[in-house]
Amino acid sequence: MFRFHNAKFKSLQTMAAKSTLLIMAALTLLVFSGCPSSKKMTETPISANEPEASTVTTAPEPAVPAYQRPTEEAAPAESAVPFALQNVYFEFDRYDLTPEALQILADNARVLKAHPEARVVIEGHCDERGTVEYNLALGDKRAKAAKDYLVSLGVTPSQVSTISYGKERPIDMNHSEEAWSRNRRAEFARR
Amino acid sequence: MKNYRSSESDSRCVDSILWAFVFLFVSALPNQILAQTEVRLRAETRSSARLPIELKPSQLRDQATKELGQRIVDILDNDLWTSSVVAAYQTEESRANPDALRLELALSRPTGPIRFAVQTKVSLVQKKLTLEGQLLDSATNKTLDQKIYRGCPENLRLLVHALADDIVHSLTGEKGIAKSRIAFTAATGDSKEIFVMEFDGSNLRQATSLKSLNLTPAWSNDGREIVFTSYQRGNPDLFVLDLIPGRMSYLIKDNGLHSAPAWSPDGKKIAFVSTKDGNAEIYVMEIYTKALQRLTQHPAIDASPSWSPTGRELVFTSDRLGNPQLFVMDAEGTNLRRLPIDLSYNDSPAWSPRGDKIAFVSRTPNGFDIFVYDLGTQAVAQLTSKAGSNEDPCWSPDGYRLAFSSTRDGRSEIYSMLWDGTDVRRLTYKGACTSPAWSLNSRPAEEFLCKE
Repeated sequence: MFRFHNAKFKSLQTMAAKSTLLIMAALTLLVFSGCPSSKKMTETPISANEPEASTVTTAPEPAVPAYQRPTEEAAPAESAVPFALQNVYFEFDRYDLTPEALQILADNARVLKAHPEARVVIEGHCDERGTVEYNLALGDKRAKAAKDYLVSLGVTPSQVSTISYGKERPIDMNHSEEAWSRNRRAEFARR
Repeated sequence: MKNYRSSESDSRCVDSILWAFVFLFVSALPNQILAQTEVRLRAETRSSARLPIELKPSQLRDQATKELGQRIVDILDNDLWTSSVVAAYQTEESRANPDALRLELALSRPTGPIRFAVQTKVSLVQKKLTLEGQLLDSATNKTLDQKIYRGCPENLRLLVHALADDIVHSLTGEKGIAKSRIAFTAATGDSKEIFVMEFDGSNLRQATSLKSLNLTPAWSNDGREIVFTSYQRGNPDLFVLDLIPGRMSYLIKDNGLHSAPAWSPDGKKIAFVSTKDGNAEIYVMEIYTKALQRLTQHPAIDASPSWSPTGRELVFTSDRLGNPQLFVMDAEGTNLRRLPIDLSYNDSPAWSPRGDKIAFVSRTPNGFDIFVYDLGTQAVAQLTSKAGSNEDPCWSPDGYRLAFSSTRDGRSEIYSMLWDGTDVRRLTYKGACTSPAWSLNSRPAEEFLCKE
């Protein structure tokens, strides 16, 4: 809910003169409070957030077509890059990217930029050690670390979302160091 | 990007540190007994120090059968033993089938005379059950306390639980735990659902059938609702399940992860972990206004909040020093301090309802084990060792027992044990059971009503 207001204020600041800001803010507040109050409070921020989220993420887009346009025009080149994204692996209880992970993500970034229409979700996963709660947060960190690096390489942020599954979705059910290292991963799934 | 050091290398020194702590803890005990009533009470949880009472055979009226009377005495027997402060002894004529509990009883028969007795009377008229409980002074046969419970045969267990809690309360001032329940998650195929059982593992039932991941349950104070993380819509959001109509509603859905909810002691707020602002932070939501307050501001992971019984403080896990450690902060997020626990990987804190101890898990060579940190003495005691991986400790509402998950018998199951690590009891036989949450000693009024 706070985020909604902040984003609103930011976009208003660029659009409107500062003198009208207060009036506009008051108006948006009125409109907001005029939303059907019979609906559950939990639901209002969601419906209000979705358009906001898209305007926030499309804001940096004027810069992005510079990366996108060449690949879009070079249609044969696009099909030359097959849509295959590799998993990234992590050390125990860590969410920083290893040199190997950086290399894999650079490859993944090339694929994503060659397929700007593709939308992917990065799933953060952990090994079975540690609590459910801590691993959920750790998985979130891992997925976001991967996303942040992709974005730093020029991937459009709206192309990539993240989710954490903590230790709930292991790919190797064994209880060995090898299994654990396979399970500590950021996995790419096409939406 | 931050570089956090791994904690794996320094677990070797854990054992020696631990023994030092255990030694300190033990040698500090006699002083503590003199200084603190709380600790002295805890010493009485040993069965030899429990308050012994005699259970008389139930008096039968109207259509009440002998079997019904014996069931009442048996349930009462089990309930009172689990209370930690009362030792129940059935009279010779009512000891029909000796089971494990009575064997324990036989070994620890009190040396002195039993000063109190419980007399139950039961009547059954047109499927309406009336249970009367009397607490008697054994020497004079005078009635010290008396209560009547009305229901029907289907909720007999709950009526007897209520009687057991009232007996414990009359005799010791403690609230008892017989009415309390334990919620937990268990795998059903690819999904995980929330299950609910009584404090001793009986009356197990599945509370959700969402066919998705459902994790980290926590009880409302009235024992009516469970808040938990559900992936039902794809994203990990917080739901509240009302057990009486079996209805679910959203608490929060937003971008990012929402997990590890904990109801505040006053019942008005829920603390939880969210990554909605980009990083795992601890938030508190006012339930009725849905107003959100962010308590932590740190680029590291902050997770697993647990309220102090006064509601003035929270203990939580943070890896801001490079590996998971326990921190305490005021309920407004101020006055942050690390608990001085000299172990390298500590998580899953649970503040005792008595306020004096914090249970947590720490990484050991076997996986994880359960430890207790004493806030008064700063002593650390290890409660489990060399028996599988032991995780997710949570306190019984009287603060005498801990429920936890353990792989000691193979697959992960739920167990309970006394606060000092003794009297371990297995509660589930399902496999893949984790994240137990122990309710307060209250049940919604609807559960006492008879179904038409």
